[in-house]
Amino acid sequence: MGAVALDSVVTRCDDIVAGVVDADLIMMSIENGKYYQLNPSAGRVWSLLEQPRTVTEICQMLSKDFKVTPEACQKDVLHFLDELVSRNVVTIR
Amino acid sequence: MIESTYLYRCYGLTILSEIHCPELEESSPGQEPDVRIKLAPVPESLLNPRYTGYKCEADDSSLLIRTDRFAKLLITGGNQILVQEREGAHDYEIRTLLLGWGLGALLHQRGIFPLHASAVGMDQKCLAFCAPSGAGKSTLAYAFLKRGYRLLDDNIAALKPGLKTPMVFPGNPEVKLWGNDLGDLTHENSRLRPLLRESGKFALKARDHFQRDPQPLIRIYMISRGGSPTPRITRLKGREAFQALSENTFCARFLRGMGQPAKHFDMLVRLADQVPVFKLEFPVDSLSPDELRQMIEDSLRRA
Repeated sequence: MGAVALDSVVTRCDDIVAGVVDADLIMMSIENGKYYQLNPSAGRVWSLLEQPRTVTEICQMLSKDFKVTPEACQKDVLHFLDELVSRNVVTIR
Repeated sequence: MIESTYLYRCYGLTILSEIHCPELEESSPGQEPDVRIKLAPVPESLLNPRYTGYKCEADDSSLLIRTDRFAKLLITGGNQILVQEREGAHDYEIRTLLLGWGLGALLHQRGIFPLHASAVGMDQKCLAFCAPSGAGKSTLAYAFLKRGYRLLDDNIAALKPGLKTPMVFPGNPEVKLWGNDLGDLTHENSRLRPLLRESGKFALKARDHFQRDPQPLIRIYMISRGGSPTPRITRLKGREAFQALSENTFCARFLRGMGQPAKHFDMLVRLADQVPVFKLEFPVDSLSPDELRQMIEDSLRRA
């Protein structure tokens, strides 16, 4: 599996459940029972993934919320999605 | 041959048992049982376990608990526990297994959350105290009972999530204490029974101090001996609260075994969101149970 690119379509993995406690987004893999915690902006990315989206789309939507240009947040989003891919939280195609 | 059966009330359930459990609260007759405890042969192993863990195996509907000295238990469908005793096991040892892990597994099957905590109530609300085994949750509960609080359980806070606040369902009217905690015991109803062989732990009947109705849970405290150089109470939020509740889920491995981790997760998130979780830290041997109780009562008054 290659690294996440701007035109990658990102999809949540089926075995991940998520919930919010005091604004912390907490996720768990049903497969291995491991927990993950996301900060609020990463949590926003997760909520955008309610349906599969490309990285470009995600950055466009984030730029409205966080008052940054899509280009400025691309690096962070790509990095974050790489990590989620490596933890089997999302898949790309 | 079964000579008689017994009807009990525990964790909000009516239990019809072929095993006499004097530590449980008797139910009024005529109640339809939610759970049956039967003496019956239990296999050494499940046919197709989907999970094998410490002294247990599970498939989708059943959990098998197996210890070498006490008994084998087969817990099925949230409404039946079969018990086969090991030769030479004492009745109270079998009951300790049955009423601990056995009922814990049954609660998981029924979607009731067993928090590994003691719980005491006053004025239509209750508090729960989590601590590692042997670190003082019963002793602290006992300190509250002496102040007029009522006991809901000293080991499992059986929680049903509510719309806003989860409710704790009363368990056993007993406090399990170490021999050296019993020094000042003057209560007339103080009939003691040993728990496990040579454990040095005793059960104290607390029927006169028992809370028989479910109570809303307003706070959960994580007791941490040696956690801080000065005694302090701090609020745990978000991930920390979630993590603390996760670590204090009674027999969480049973849930994993029964293939319900997502249900457990949802319950943890809801609980962590609904009930404030606090950490109570103090240096080892710095505070007596009564001083801890005082510290908690003071913080409640300030809230």
